[in-house]
Amino acid sequence: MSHDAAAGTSTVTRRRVLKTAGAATVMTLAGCSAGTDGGGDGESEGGQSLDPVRERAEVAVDEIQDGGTLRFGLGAGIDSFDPSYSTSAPAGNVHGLIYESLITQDAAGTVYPWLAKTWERIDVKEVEDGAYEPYMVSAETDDEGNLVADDQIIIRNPEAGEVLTVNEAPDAVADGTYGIKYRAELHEGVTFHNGEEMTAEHVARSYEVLENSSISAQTFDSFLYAEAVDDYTVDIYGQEPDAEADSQLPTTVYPMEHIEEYPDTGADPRNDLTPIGTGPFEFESYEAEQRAEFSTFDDYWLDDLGLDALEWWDGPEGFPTSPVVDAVTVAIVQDDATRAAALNNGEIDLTYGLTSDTYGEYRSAEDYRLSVTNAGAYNFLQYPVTVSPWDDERVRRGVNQLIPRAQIAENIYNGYRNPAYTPLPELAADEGSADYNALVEELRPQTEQDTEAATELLQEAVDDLGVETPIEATIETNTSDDRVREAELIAQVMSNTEFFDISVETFEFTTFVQRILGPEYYQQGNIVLIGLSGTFNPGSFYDAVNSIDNFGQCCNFQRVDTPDLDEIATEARFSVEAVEDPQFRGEQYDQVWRGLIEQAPNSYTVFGTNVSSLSTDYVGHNTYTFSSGILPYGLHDPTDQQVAYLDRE
Amino acid sequence: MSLRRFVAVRVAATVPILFGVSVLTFALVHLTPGDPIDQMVALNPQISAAEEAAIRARYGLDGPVWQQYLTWMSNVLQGDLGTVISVDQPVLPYILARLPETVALGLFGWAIALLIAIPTGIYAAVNKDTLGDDLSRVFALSGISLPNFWLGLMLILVFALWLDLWPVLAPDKPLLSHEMLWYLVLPGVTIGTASSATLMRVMRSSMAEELNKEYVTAARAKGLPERTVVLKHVLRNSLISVTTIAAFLTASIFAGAVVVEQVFAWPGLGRAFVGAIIGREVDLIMAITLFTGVTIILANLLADIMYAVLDPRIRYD
Repeated sequence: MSHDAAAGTSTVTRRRVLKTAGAATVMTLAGCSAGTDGGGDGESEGGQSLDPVRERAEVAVDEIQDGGTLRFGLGAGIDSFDPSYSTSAPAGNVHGLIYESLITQDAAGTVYPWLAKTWERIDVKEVEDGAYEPYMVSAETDDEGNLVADDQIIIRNPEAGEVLTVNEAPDAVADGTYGIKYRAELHEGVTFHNGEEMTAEHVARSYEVLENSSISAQTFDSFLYAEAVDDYTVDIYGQEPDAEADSQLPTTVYPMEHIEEYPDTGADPRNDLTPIGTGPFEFESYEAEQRAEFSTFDDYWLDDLGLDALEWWDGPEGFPTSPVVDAVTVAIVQDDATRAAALNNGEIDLTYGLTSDTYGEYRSAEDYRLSVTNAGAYNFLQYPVTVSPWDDERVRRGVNQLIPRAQIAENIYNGYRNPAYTPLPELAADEGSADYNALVEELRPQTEQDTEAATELLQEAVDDLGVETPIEATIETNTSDDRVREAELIAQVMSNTEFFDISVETFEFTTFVQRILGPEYYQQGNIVLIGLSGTFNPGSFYDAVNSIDNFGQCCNFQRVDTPDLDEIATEARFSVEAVEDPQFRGEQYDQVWRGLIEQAPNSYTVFGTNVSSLSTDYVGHNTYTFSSGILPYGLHDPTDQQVAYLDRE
Repeated sequence: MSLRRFVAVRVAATVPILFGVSVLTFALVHLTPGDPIDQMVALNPQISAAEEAAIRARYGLDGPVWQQYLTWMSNVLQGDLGTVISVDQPVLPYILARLPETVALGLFGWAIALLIAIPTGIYAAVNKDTLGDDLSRVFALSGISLPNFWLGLMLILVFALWLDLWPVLAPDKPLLSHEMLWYLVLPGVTIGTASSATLMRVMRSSMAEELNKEYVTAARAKGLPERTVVLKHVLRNSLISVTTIAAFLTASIFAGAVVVEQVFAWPGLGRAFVGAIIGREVDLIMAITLFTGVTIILANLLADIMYAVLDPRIRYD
């Protein structure tokens, strides 16, 4: 991030972009394997993000054809049409057609102003411990001793039994108590599907929609307050200095009709309420669990303002200002084989999430292709770090060097996964490392399969500890074919040594999640193998599985406690220096990754990619980094000069 | 016993049965680890313990199981079947929106089962111990043995992909339309095959038994044409046991719908039931189970009544 020291601001422009940490998606446990593409280790060059899309399909502007209905096959139901009630990937594809935010992110995670003409950080400062206490109010406690309030809680102080809610936040901000402040200058002439013109008031009040929703935590863990300065200027405040604030603070912008009139059930046709946004598509119809239909919005703001209204735009003349298809039909087809059959039969044009054994067929077929993009999914082993002998890091490091990552990626995932030689994928390399190539080079010797080095470490550990060998343990995982095979391969490799006798036990996903989230699970001595999705934020590859704050919830199941690394990781995100100095931030994270390999509470095994399977009638499609954005991104995204069209000739 | 009294007694008897089903289902669901909130927490790492507790309390999942059951039962008796937590929708409209699809598929599957089973059963009985009879046995064995999901996928492969006679996905047409009736053939055949095999064997054995009875010999001795003997005299008597079995097959038709709706992306109760089990949607599982229970009980009651209509010798006792 460039920083204007004199003015204390940084501005997003084409030349001076804010790299983001957060993604449009949240971290989620992966219940089943997503197909991924092989392709070696990513490399960043000179601080520039590499395009995560492999073999990007290019489209010549003069060949683009307008019109037609794109038929998209979705492998799960739409749990809510309202972004304030769902962050699921299937729903995200629909949200991205209808709704927009102040910012958008390209496939590499770079933040660009979108509904905002400019999106600037205008202040950042340290927040002292207890700075918010003077503004807090007393709160009730529930039966389990948790502080509760009718209004959305922003910060809790359990010791004092007090909370800061959205009602007190404006007072704190008025007194200058906040960590970071951003200002958005809005485009004028942006209209919602119901004809309302978007103003600063819409932006500021859109946060009200999220209050006390089931996903409110994802906003109110960093957001503090938003206020309209004038009709087209809004200030948004964060609780702490936050290196991810540029992507974390903005939210979906809703019309007043939604903010003031829609009940707590959200904008959903199942409640006879129409989802209304500023996006390029309007909601048309929904048949329960069968299909949803959308048509182009005639008054889409970018059609009116033109791409030159985007200060960062430097693409070709004649590039479309909105998606070129007339309509989108989303067909909900949960069974993978049926969805593949529908694609093969020409009844849908595009889908994702098919089983990896179909990929070869689409890759070689004349009328179909695969679009593959490096993603944030990863599989990891989590050791029972409080149980002997797993409490000795040499044992864990030894196992880490036994894991046949390359073999797992190639043989089990058919080359559709990449070996995880560092805990950080290329996806978050820019923000998460001062020099990613050097980091990979440094850590790879400690994570590549090296039986000799592993034996040395393990022998030393068992001799010191006086442990009887073979050490018996169970790898527990969920019943996903590929993951079970991965677990079995790791168990076999470990059992092939004299040190271990490892078995594998599998559970249905929900049963498994409930089991490993149990408060006593960490004492049972089992090894967990599960998948998780990280984001553009490098911290997402650390916090969820290592931070003690996440013990008992996703995804610290084994009471992993690495306070030294927690502190560095916190500093790498929540400090003025991290906000202002990307080099400092990268160096901090480099320390985290080195520490993780050294202490090895988790072994990251493979990183994933997103794979779309599509008909060649749909020309120019590229897959977004997160599956929640596959449909909207493919249709039109000026940040990557991405557009796709239908050619049914 | 009069028909009216018979029906009243049978309906009254359903109450303890449904109560038992509800207790058993509720217990089984709660014996299975996890609930929708666990999934929510797994998918949203930022949800704090306090928020989790609040969400759990909001949906009444925070008390002991017996208390949850009593609350659920009390709500049901007041017409409130609860909430589908994952979409925050009331259960009743959620079920009613999917019911027509399942009923249509079930009736279609049932019709196909009868259309296949009765003629085949008659043919096999009349041509007992011939090649045709043997082939009918092979058909029956295959129909019972083939898993629904596999048969469905094979039908899609052959008739939709290879021959291009059917679409894979349901057309965007009203349920009662030519296009939808045409589309229903493949899932209907899939769901009806196993039932038709069972029905066909019952039809065959029942008819073979009737054909050996004295009244058939007498009818033949009178010089009645064989066609008249079989279709007018024997068929009616043979249908008594088939009717009973056909009613019992209501349960297997619904069980088949669970799989077939998944394969054919058919938005009915069966598909909702699968989703409910995966998501541990207690209220939805309970509602669909009760609905199915009531349907099966009513089908059996109907079978008993038809039994008496078909055979006046049978009394309601």
